[in-house]
Amino acid sequence: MKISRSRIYYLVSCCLVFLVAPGVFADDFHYVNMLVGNRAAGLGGAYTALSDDPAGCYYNPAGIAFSPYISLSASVNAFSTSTKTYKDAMRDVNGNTLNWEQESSSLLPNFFGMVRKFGPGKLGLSYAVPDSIRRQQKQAFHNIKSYLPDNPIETYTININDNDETYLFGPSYAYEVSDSFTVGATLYVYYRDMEVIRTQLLQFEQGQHYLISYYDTKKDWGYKPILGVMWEPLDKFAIGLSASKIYVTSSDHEEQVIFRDTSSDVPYAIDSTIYDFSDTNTIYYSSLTDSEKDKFPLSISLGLTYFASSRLLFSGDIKYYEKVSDREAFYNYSLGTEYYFTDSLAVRAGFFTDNANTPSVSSSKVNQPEHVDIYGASLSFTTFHKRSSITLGMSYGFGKGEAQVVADSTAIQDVEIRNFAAYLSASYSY
Amino acid sequence: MNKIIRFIPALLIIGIIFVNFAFAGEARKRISATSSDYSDVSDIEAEIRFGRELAARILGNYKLLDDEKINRYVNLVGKGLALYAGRPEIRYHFGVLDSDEINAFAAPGGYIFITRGALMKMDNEAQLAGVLAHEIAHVVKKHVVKELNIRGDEGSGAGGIASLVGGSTGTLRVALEQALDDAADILFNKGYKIKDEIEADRVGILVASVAGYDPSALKEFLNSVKSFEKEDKTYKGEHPIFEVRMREVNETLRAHGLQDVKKAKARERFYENIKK
Repeated sequence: MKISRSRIYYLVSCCLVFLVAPGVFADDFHYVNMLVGNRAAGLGGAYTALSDDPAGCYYNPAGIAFSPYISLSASVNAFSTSTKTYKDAMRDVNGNTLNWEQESSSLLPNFFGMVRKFGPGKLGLSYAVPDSIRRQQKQAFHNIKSYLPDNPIETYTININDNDETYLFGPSYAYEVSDSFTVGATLYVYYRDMEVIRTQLLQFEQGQHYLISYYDTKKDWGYKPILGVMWEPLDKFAIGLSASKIYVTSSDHEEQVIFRDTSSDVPYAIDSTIYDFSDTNTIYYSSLTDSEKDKFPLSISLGLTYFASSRLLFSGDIKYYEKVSDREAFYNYSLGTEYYFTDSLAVRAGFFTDNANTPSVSSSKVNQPEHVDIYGASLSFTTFHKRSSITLGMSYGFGKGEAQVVADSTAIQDVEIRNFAAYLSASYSY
Repeated sequence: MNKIIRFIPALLIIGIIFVNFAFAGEARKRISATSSDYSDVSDIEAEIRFGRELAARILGNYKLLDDEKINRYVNLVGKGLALYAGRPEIRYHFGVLDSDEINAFAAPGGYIFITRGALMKMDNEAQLAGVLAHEIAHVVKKHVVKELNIRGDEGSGAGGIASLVGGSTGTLRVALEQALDDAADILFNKGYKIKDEIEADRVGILVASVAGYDPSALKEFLNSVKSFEKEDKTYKGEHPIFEVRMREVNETLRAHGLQDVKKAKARERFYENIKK
């Protein structure tokens, strides 16, 4: 995946004060932004060797061969919130450091799936939203130290309106080669709809101002094949293996920038054109379109489930992501357990990593993407009825790392990320 | 990375090598799906509806024997056994299938069939009672119902919410058809799980014995079928692991002190009604 490096970098770098670099829009720096599927989410995503319900279409389609005749699963609503705190991102006139927080929240059903018998195997159809960011934020900071001598920033206003969602929908099919060995495939249509609107206004004490308004939209279409196998070599063990990759086939990207800077008396060049902002009629405007396609890694998941009894199981996954473009090769891990307190009440708990796909931040470089490894835990409760079950679950992730939020600066900020998600889901089987 | 990719075909090959070690995903079944006794009113109604549909499929494969006397006789023997079977909510129906095969079928809800070929291999009413009691035991223990999770309506608020997700009459109908296919596959091809067969033998012997029949009659019949099985390919092997079953039958007789118990065989009555 490539970060959009637009001319906003140039404009931001003109102002030697904290200004949000463009790389900090959607969370492209992690691949596990939302856990999908009610049972799977409770297990921290350790589902590659289970996958015996509609969520298997997403994790390992070979597993749906083990699901009942017709299974339906839907998250009625999933609420997720994320807080990212850049430590000491700014300094006020008294020398005190200030943190800058970005908050995102969304409420949406993030999974629906069904599986039914079809021909010699099982047919699945599912819809998943593995990534959703909705960020509406208006912030104002006062008396910030600026790059102009004896002219601090009286008010620094940041308005943010980001919407970035990824959708997957498509069919799956699983075939039982034998009672203990199944194969399966999913072909998802991939659609990403991103809209980023950001306005930053610096109002200096002596009356100057610096305004940049940035509008960025992106619509990507593509597909994501998932191939999987499931093998039960022993009575109480299952091994699952799945491989997937997103291929973007078309991208429609549009970017608009409006800019005006009266903090400098000296005209300066942007895109080879001289702009004299002392002229009140001067404003910078640009509009760009491109169709550069994001690149995603091949990811391979290997899972092992131990069915200790009909009440207790343990599951673990290891997921490998290959290196692609400026993203690193790395692993994610997840562990989960499920225990039935009674015949009709189960609790699930999980642990998972959501490691950064970026390299570590170096003090000798500028404009680097942030690097934050996230560690998370999940917990869910499910009540079972005759054909149905209701699950209430939640997950929490926390990570510390480093970032460079000031454009063209080697300064490194500490970053903390806190993610929380809660969901209510229902499953039905015949 | 390349090592991981090379690992995939290796895993596939290993998996295929071991496919014969079949465990059929039994360990996956969670207690929420296996603990139900399927005994509330809607469950029983669903079982009977399902059984009726399955009986119709059986009669689609086999013609009912056009002999009122034999059918009546088998019904009398069967209903007499059912009185001791412990499911008074079930109304049992017995029928004779006009087939040379040696077989018997039990559909959920109390629909039980035996073939003419099986009757012809029997020597007395106690053997008929042993076979019918074995089939009744499949119904009593709800083997097909549990295997295929045949359940009634939700009837609960939470279930109602969940059913909004996708529950509909049409969907239920499709699922029912698929379950019927699988049930027919159990009856005609795959057979029951061996543990279910053993349980049906055990319960059947006790039911027949309590009803006054010779408890060893089922064992005698199984032995005669075993020798016949070698000669006649039409025997479909519903009871595949003969030695295991015979060992368990002997253990049941021993454990309940029935080895040397002599009870009614009703040979004359059997011949009067069946083989006259």
